[in-house]
Amino acid sequence: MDAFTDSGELYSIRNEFYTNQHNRVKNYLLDSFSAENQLKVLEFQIRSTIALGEDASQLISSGKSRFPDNDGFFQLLEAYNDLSSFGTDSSTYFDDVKEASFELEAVLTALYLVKYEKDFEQATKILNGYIAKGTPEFEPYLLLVQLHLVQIDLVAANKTFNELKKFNMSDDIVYSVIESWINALRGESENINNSFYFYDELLSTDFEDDNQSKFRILNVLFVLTLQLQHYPEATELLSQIESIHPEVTGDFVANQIAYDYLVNFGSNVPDLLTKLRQVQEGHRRLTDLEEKSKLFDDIAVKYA
Amino acid sequence: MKMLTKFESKTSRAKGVAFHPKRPWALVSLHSSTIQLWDYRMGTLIDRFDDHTGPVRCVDFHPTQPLFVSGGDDYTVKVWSLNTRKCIFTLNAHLDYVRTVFFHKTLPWIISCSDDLTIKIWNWQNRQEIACLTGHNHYVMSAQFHPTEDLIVSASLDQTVRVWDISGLRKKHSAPGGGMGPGSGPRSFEDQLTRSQLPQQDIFGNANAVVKYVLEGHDKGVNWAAFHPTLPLIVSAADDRLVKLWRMSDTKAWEVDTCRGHTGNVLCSIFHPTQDLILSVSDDKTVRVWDLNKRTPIKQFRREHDRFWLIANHPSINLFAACHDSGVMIFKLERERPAHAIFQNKLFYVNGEKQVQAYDYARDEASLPMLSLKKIGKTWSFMRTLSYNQSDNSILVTHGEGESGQYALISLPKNVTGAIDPTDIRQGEGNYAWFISRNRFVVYYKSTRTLQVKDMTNNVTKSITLDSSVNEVLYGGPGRVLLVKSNAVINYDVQQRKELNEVAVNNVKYAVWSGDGQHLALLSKHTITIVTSQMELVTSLHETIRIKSAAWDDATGVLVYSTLNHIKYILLNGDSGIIKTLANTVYVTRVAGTKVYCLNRQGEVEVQTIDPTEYRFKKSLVSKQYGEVLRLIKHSNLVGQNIIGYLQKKGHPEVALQFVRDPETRFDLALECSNLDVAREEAEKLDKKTGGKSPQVWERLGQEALLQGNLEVVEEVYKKLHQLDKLSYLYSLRGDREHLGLMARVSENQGDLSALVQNTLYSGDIKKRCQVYIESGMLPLAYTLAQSHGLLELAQEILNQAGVDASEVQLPEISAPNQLPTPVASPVTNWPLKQQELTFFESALINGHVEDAPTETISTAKSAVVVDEDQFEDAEDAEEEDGWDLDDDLVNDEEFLKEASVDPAAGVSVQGANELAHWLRNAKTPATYVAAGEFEQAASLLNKQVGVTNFAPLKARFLEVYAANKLYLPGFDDLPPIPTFIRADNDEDDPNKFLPLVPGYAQLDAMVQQAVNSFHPERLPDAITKFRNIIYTITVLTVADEDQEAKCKDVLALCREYILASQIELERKALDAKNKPENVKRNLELAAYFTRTHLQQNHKNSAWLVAMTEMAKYKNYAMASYFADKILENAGKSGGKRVETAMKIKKIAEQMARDAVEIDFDPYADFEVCCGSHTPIYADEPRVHEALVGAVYKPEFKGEVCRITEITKIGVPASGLRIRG
Repeated sequence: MDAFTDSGELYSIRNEFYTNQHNRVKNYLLDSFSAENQLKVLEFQIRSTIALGEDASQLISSGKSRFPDNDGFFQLLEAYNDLSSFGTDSSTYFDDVKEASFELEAVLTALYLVKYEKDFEQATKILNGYIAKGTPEFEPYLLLVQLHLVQIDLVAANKTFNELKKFNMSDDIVYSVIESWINALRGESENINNSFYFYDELLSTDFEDDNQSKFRILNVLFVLTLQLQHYPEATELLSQIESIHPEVTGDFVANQIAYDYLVNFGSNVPDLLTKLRQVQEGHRRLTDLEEKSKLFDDIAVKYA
Repeated sequence: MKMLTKFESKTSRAKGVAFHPKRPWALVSLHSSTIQLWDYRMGTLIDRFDDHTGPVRCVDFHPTQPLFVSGGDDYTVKVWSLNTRKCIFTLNAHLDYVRTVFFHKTLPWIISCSDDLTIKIWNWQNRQEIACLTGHNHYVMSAQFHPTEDLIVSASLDQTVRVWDISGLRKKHSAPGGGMGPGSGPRSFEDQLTRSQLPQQDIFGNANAVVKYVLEGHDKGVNWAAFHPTLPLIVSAADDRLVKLWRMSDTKAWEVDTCRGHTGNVLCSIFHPTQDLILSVSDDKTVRVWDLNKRTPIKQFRREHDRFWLIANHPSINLFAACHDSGVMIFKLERERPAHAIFQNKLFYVNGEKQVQAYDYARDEASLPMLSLKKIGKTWSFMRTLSYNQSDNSILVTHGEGESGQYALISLPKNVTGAIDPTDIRQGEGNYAWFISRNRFVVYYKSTRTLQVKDMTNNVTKSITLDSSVNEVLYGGPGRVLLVKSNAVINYDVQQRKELNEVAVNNVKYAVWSGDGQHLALLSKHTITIVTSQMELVTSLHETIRIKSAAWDDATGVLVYSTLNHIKYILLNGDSGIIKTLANTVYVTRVAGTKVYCLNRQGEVEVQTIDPTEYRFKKSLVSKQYGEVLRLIKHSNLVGQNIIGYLQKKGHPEVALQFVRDPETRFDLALECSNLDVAREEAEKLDKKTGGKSPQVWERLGQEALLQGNLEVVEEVYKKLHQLDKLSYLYSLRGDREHLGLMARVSENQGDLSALVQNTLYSGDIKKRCQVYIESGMLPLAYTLAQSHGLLELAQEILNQAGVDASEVQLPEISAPNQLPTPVASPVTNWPLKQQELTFFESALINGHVEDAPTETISTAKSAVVVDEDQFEDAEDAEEEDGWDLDDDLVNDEEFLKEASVDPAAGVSVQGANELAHWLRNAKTPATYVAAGEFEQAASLLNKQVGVTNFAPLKARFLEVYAANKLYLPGFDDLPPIPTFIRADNDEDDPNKFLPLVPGYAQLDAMVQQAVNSFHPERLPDAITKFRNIIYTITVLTVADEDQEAKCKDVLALCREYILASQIELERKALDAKNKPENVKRNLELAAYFTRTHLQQNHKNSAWLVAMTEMAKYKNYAMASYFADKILENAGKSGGKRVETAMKIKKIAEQMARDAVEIDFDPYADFEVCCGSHTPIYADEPRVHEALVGAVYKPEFKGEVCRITEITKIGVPASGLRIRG
């Protein structure tokens, strides 16, 4: 039986991983999974640990001894862990990757290229290269679609999505996540609503004390509600977010700025901008606004 | 199961009822001796028959002949004609009350039973009694024929039900050539042989009808017994409160079971004609329905005050009639509208077997049944609604009524292999259930008034309590529902819990959306209301008969609907008509070309072929698609008064002319469209037809010709009508001497002297006139005429003739005779007319080039104007784009090309290819450019439109408009977020109309309120800032329509006035006149100018107060008095300090009405205040304007930055602000 299907044991953890509920992923007991799935579970847990900004080297070394025949695999994770812990890659592992040989390598290399080298082109190339192999591994598609969407290229994103559809796996979480993005970007009430319902459904699970995971989903809902111009609902979401005191992200603050312009005449925008600088210096909203601000000043001088 | 009452009569006690086999008629026999004939569809009493004396207990229609039969307490059986509505004959043989009468289905027989213990069979053709069945030993309460076999069943108060065999009777009475129905034929030898071996008479002398079975089981008298229409079953009803079911074979009959439940005598029970049900009525005031297979009660319907006497079923339609103490009720037991849903090219419906089937419109083919719903709900529950979800191929059905309403969500099987039982059923309570998105549906449960949104696992994600007046909830498009109240329909957004819009319509039952979602037809029992998706009323239509269903012909935008017996159409302008008459009621689901796909009441798809030409034609005409109109004219045989009347009504007689062959109509139409040629042609035809006896035709032609100045036709008409005087006058007018001469000769020949004189007057022929006078013996007149015209010889002759000498005649002095004017040239011809411009139709009909016909020559004045307007608007748009809107680089943008080359088959449409590129391409306002990040372009536009040169103050607004519509959707961690955008209108699906959300308009009122509130002597600089902010907001704004645009313009003007007022007041205060006497004059002037700004009334009062006090302070009492008047005029009834002061000042002013300081202010002069110098600009003085808020300046300020806006330059060329997107 395929471990990823509805009834498979990886179903839940996978759903949680791809919807950024990292605390939940981390909390699984490795031994509760059957032997053949444990490596995959460990991979999710290591990556979730890294995503939470924690050091995963202990997990990696325990994994090395538990699964002795996977040196390349752990080397990769180690390199990635080092990168996020120290900001450097001592082994220059990723610079040497010209073509990915397995899924995780493609994924992490692409992430490295985007995050540290800002090299979208090479990242796209690596991912496309891996996809061309036609194996039923979906994570590269997820990354690739997001890369296209980050560059506001819905056409390319759509093309990738259509290729993914060939695997006929519309129940898969990766499919649903991509679909939710594309729906949101396409606009129109029905599409945004569909996307909204996907996340709304995620929210119906019990988060116990995992406020950070809950926050991530509320944040997406906040964006979609604003897109729908449902301001009272957005305000409600905002207070819900504030009530759980999460560690806010730059994206959230950046969206709050738009919200403030729409609802409060932008009176809190200066404060929010300061906050955004603290939370994530170099957020796209900041660079964008600085760029536009300069553009404006140049124009003002020209007409003066 | 539900009792749907279709008709109820309010009369005295009804004892018998019968349905007409074809027409919507029912006969009701009353206890009061009357028989009524009702049209139960229209609810009207057609006729009444009063020949019986005493109660009439029974009636029956003949299945094919226009006859009916009745029996009553006067011991008679009467046969009536439906044609003459009279009793044809009466059968007298019973010796007591007649209880029931029935016609035989095929033979000319009537069966009657009576309290005289007998059952009699009659031949209504020869009016003979042919059998008398004896055996019952108490009143016989009912007796009827078996529908197909030679059997009779009877029920009696002797507690038995008897089955009689009457095959002997049939044989005896099917005499050779007797024509007694089927089976009769020449008597064969064998036949004769059998005849001779017929059973011997029984002891009562009955040879022809023998008792086959005696059914005993009831403990009291039996009131009714009836055969099953197809099975060998009998149902009986008795005073022991029981309904019993009996079965029979060829040799025996036995009791099967008993239905217990009635609490009173059961008067009648029958089998349901098509379903396995038994219906019974009782004097316990109930109608009960039983399951035939399980003999268990299913449902009962109670009336509070009426005992039931009889129940009867319609022979072919699902209708029942029940007689009770106060009349009769006609009802059906269940809705017959098969639940269905349409998705793209497929119709999903529940068939008669309660199975889900699909029908493919494209291939005209029905699928196998795919799912059985038999196990959903109770056995007899009917599926009321069905909703389909394509994304996981599932359906949502509702069944049951009221509190027992349920919904069920079921997945359809992937492969259709026949009706399988559903595996996963998710269900719950609810009366209405619809999918509203890919993975959500709503359920409305009326008894708790809750509208719940559920996900596909049947979990509630949202619960809304609705107002109790919501009766129904219908599908309202994605994410929306329609809340149906008894007098309104509301479009409700489930996500936002918001009522979007509302339309007042009564008792809506169904809603039908057009394919493009733009229009919605709301159906109630007798009314169709068409509204837009915004719930604005388009048109509505009342039908006297029930409206059943509707579907949009999406190709033409016409609504096709069905009533009980017609398929009809209605156009959006309200024009409607009948397309087809129906034999049986159908439910329209889809219209495609000439095919109308319907569901019938058996749950089958029926394809009705229609001729859509008529409505297409009307639609084309209404929407001015003349090419199509012409094509229809040429290629269809569209005729009839209907179309001609329609064309005439719509002002197209020239088109109507094309359809008509009948000369009279053609003549009328030709006159209407001033087509003289055709009119003349037709007039001639008519003339021939009537043998020249149609003067009125010629007269009308003549009038029209005269109007047009067509003298030839006029001449012809006068000739035809022999109106010679008129003809002469016409020739005279034309200067046609030749014809005038002719006319003179004609009148001479006819001996019409008066006409002849008239003609000589026209022609100036003196000699001739004298001649006439002479001939008629009027010599004096002749002489005078001759003499005065210098015809001396002739005059002499006349004298001679009269025997009078010249000296005896004294003539008065006459001046020289008038000379008749001579025609300048040859006779005047027809009045020249401008070459009539051919209408589009005419020219197209002449040259036959439909396609080539230029549409702009449409000559009806109205349409021509419309076309022009359109062109004008287009031209304007184009011009503007040429001017500065269109960015050439943009068109060559890579994104754009990329989008164009996308594979169209790629599933999701690529609408948002690059949102900013869309915005730019659709941009019409500076704000849209700002939102798209094209500040350069926006600045250039603002500069050209309103002369903005100082951009700095606009920076905050630019950044706001840019940032407010951009969001960051967090995606996978470690990757940058996905930029996403807020569009102005999320319901827009055409990428060519995508525009960014530009905030501001919604907040405008609040902003203005805030700014106005801060207009206070101490906070003027703050007020100025706030008003300027409003100006900046509107400068970079996109609004949706003209009204909003107009409002913005008003707000701009308001801002201008308040800023100007604030600035004047600030300047005045800075003068410090109290301490600097040299400034007093200017101080007073400014106080006066302050009152000339257009402020809201309360602030205007303040301005007058300031002016009044300042004037009084510096002893300008005359002026102060003027302002005091102003205050008093506007003070109304309210007193207050202000009024007191004004009165006081007025009093002082009366005593010393003069001004101490002379100032430059004339209260009665018309002037505006210069926004720069704060001095008056009188009406005739030069001035310059600022373009954004319309501030006025003296010419010396030209080129400076406006003091009001601080962003625009004064007096530069500007095209005006464009904010409408």
